[in-house]
Amino acid sequence: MEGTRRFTAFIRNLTEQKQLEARLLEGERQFAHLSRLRILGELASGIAHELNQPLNAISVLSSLAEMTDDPAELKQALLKIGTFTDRAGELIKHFRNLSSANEQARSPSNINELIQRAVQFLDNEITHHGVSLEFRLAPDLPELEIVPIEIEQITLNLVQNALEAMADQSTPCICITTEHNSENLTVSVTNSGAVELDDNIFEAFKTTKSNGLGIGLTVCRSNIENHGGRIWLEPQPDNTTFRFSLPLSL
Amino acid sequence: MNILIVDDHAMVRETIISLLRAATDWEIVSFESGQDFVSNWDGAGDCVLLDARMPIVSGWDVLHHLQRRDAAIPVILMSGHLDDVNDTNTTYPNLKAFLAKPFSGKTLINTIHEHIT
Repeated sequence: MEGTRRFTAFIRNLTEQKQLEARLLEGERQFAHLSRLRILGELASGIAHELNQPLNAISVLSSLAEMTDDPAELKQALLKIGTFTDRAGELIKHFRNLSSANEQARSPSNINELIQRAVQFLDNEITHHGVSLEFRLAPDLPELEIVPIEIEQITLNLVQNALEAMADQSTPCICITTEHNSENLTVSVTNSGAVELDDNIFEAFKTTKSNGLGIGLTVCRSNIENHGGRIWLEPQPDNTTFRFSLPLSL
Repeated sequence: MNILIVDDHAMVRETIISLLRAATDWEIVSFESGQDFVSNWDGAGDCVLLDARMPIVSGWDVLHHLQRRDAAIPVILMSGHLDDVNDTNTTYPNLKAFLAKPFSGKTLINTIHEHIT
């Protein structure tokens, strides 16, 4: 009709699509949590070992505090008890964060510190298997806005896999390297085991372990991709390297 | 009496030294690893407090080393792992006792008295 404007509108109900996306996201989060719990189960003995050290120091110091007549020595013992209690508390807090099912927030973090903190939980395994561990960490790494426990989980996974890959070696060694250029930060975990692997190893339920679920590396890749990065495998005749890179501007 | 402590955890080593110096008149010598002990021990001493789980040279390796040297020094093995108590992978005849971490200062001193003095 003359003088009349007509508009055509299309309305599409996205509720179902949004619900599906939310369910997929929740499934992914639960998958990552399951993977973390599995690693933590394997690390239980190492965590107990790490907790035992400050507990032992506290126990010995409390005996000293009870026995001594010297006020200065008593004060010193009590101060140390406080310090070691804090250390034990930090370990428990860290363990609780790793096992948490809650969604974790991003925060500015130093990758070198996260790697060293994660490997601390494997100290006992590393010692017990006589593995030589070398860190080549770039001292000038910029902080990245990341989810710290996801990076720790990736480190734990890669180092744990490396330990298992070298189980039969007489002189096993692991080298962890960090480096960066103007665009990316790269972390490499190299072990002296040479296992036949290809990039399919990142697919869910692919595993070379008889008792493995095959979800560890899948979660690693998902965590890295959520940060805009990538993870890949570099097998060599006499060693294996897993490398992941993260963009500096996340 | 001369007590030797071999433990790679500084906090454990130092607290044991503080306790024994405060509570006894024993001489204390410490080693920060199994490797340090194997390389630097001069053969003197009345008792070794030895951590079982240390990197590179473990407490078990130290026991083998003592046996190869035909050493007679008594050893008290310390560990937080229950499996270590039942570990029969040593035939060192002077392994006197096993102390499960965490232990109190009193337990430590009593164990030394019981087996060594």
